[in-house]
Amino acid sequence: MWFARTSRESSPRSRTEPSQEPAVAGLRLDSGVYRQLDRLQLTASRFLRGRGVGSRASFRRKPAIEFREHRKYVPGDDLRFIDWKASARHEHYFLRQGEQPKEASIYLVIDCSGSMRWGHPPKSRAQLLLAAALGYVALSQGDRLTVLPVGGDPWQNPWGPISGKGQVPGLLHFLFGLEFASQVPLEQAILQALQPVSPPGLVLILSDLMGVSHLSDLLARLPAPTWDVVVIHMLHPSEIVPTQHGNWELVDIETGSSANYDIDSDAVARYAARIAAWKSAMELECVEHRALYISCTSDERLEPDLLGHLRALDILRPT
Amino acid sequence: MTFSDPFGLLALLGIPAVVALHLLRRRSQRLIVPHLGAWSFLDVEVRGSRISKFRLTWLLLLDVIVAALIGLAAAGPLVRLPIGEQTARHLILLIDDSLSMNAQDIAPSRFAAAKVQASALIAEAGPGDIISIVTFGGVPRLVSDSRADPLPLLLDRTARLEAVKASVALSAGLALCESLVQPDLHPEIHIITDAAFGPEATAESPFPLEWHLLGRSNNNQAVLSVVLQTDASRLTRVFTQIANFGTQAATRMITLETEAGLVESGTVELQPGNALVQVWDLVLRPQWAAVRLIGQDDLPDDDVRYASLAAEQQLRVGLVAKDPALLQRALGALPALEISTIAPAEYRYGMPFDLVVFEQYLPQEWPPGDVLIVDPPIDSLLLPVRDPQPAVGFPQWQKTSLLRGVDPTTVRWGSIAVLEEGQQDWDVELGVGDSPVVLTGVSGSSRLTLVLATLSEGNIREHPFLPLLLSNLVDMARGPSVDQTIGLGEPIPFPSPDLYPIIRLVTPSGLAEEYSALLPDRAPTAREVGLYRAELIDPEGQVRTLYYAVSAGGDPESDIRPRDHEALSEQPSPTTPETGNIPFSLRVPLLALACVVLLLEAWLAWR
Repeated sequence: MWFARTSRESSPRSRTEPSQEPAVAGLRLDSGVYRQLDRLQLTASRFLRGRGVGSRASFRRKPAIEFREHRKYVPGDDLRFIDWKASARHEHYFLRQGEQPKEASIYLVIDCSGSMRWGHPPKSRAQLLLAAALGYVALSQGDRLTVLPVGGDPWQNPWGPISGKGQVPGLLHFLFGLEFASQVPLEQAILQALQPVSPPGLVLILSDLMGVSHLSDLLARLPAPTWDVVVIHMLHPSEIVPTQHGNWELVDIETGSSANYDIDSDAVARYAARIAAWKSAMELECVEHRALYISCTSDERLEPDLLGHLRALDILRPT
Repeated sequence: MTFSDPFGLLALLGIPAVVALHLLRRRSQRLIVPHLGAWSFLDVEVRGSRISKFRLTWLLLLDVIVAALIGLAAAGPLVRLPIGEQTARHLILLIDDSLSMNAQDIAPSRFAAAKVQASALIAEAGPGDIISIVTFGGVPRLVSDSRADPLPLLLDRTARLEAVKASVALSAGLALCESLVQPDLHPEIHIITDAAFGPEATAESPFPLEWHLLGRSNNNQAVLSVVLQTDASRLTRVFTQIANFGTQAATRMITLETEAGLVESGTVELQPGNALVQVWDLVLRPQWAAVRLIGQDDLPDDDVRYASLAAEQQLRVGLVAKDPALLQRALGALPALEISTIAPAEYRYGMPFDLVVFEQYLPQEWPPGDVLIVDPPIDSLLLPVRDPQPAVGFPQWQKTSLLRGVDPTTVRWGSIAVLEEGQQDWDVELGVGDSPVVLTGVSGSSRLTLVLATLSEGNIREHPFLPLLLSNLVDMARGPSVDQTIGLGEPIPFPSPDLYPIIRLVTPSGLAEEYSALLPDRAPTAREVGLYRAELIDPEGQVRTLYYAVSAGGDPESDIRPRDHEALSEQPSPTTPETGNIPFSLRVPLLALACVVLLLEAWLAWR
């Protein structure tokens, strides 16, 4: 009966409308969170080819002042780095090898499609907070950070690459000024955004993956170990298990198209099962392409929930 | 199933209203989703932005059920539930005991069949049932009630019932039945009647009525009335009215009988539905007369009708006066008087007079019977009066039988004696100003009438005031007159026991009964058609004979054609179907069910 739901909710229409709440309203990172983030760094593969001198260890050995290990001399090596003392005690020549710290390229891919506006609070709120935290960690550790807003329409320019902790205010200003509207195919948009960026690096994709049926094409273009891809799949709890029942005219927040459905508990159960299967398929594709898949919900707190997930998966680790 | 308020079914129009509300609600029920494709696995009901297809949902179904239940409840549906064996009833038998029930169109008579039917209904009663027997002929009467009487007594009283009442009181009978109903039992009112009612009869009752109709006669002729009229020439005129209540013309022989035997006879032809008047002139003055229709019809009781005349009796009047001329002249104008003029010195107490008139004289004590005192002397110890005073003022009088036809305003009063207060109580019948002129009182066995005006003054000697007063007084002294005809079942109007302490009554069938003043019930009921001969014995042992003519029938009782009983009551009352059923209103259960469905809907919505 019509009064049934009105007795449980103040306004049925408010539930059906997209959130009018500004995503950036009250968005900020607490000082306690900053202190925690200062002690964390993003874990990137050692096989990533860094550019310049940074703080990250690299598997690429070359003669260096800072000794790391010896190796046998092979013709062509620079004779200046032969360790004569060690060679005198053996029958072979040994070269002194050191480790050259390098910087990593971090790409924060922000899904700016209209579906991220959905929910109370909108998914974009948790998404931007997490992006700000990850960006802060990247900048504070001396990585080269590039923020790629994708999926939105109109196209929004990327921000970066930048490095240095002094760029944090600019990062936050850019993130919290992003607009979420419409939708373009996500995979295509990511590839289009990454193409002009030459150095491979760590790609952090923050998206609800709505409308993405599979990630294989995208992940095949970003192969490991050249690229290190982390997919952070963020959904609203009501997207996983809907609470609506009855006859509804469902309207797509991105396209505006609509259809009428009679949603009963059986339909809800089938929907939840399909969402779970879809998430499992996404995770499987990530595993196949040696990418990391993290599922989270937008109602989780940044600390300890979201950052806890990343620490547990060793994406963030103490310095 | 019936409906007590059929217009309540209009409330069912709420069903389309509920459906419309659901459709309107669905039109405004839109839900924004992040990705419509996530729902694509469901069958699309209707594509588009508006709902255009009606779809039955549980909520809609429950709302429609609620609206339907409330709509039906508004109409007040009634169903008749069978009475279980354990359900006790209050069986009320309303029996018509009017004269028309004596019609013999069904053997032996309608009333006999009614008693058989009543006995059958009583026999069907269960052990926990209550039975009440009520008759509604004449004045409704509770004959017997099983709450007070054992069943054998109830059956005996029912069997002793007689159809002798000259009218019916159906509405009053139903009212009596309603007052008798036992509240915790299911009432059943059975009306056993021939439905030969007048147009004024109605049958309205909050309880269901079951009619048991008897007889369908269309053949009855009746003598409706007989009136005897005498005049000063001693001729008697007999008026009678005869009617035919059948559907076909009838030819009947009609006879006139008196105590002298058969006086007249002839043949009358009566058209159906018509009445005619027959008049006979008799040169004698009969004590009674009977008009009889010879022949056969369905109700013989009303084929004869009697009428009686009061026997003209000589009234003995004693006139004790100093100047008797005026009063003697006035009394001489009145018929059937035996006047004895006596000088005051010759008067003795105990002289046999029905009326004693004293003028300017008073005895030592009042004689028994009627006494008239005119212009009393002032020196009597029996009646202390003072010297007459001039009359001043306007006359004022009571409208009693003593002053019937008298116009005191035209009397010119001279002087009026003043009555002193004594032990005697007087009622003032006529006064002039503050002076009483005519008074009445009772002293022992004497009925006193006192005229204080002085006859020698004013115009009293020339005015008819005194003759009229004497005439009324003589009429009062003659005693009661007898009604010409008494209806069957009505009480016989005996005169006052003071005048006639003993009455011997002989019924038409020859049964003699004696009624004494000491008996509490001196008003026997006329139970036979014919002449009741009454011998009235006064305290001195003198016997006076009266005839009470008792007749049956009349309009409408002689009209024994049954009336449409369904037209008597607003609600149709079937005779036999649905016997043993009890009406049950579904309004409250339907409303309760609607509340339950609403609660169920609320619970489903809450889930």
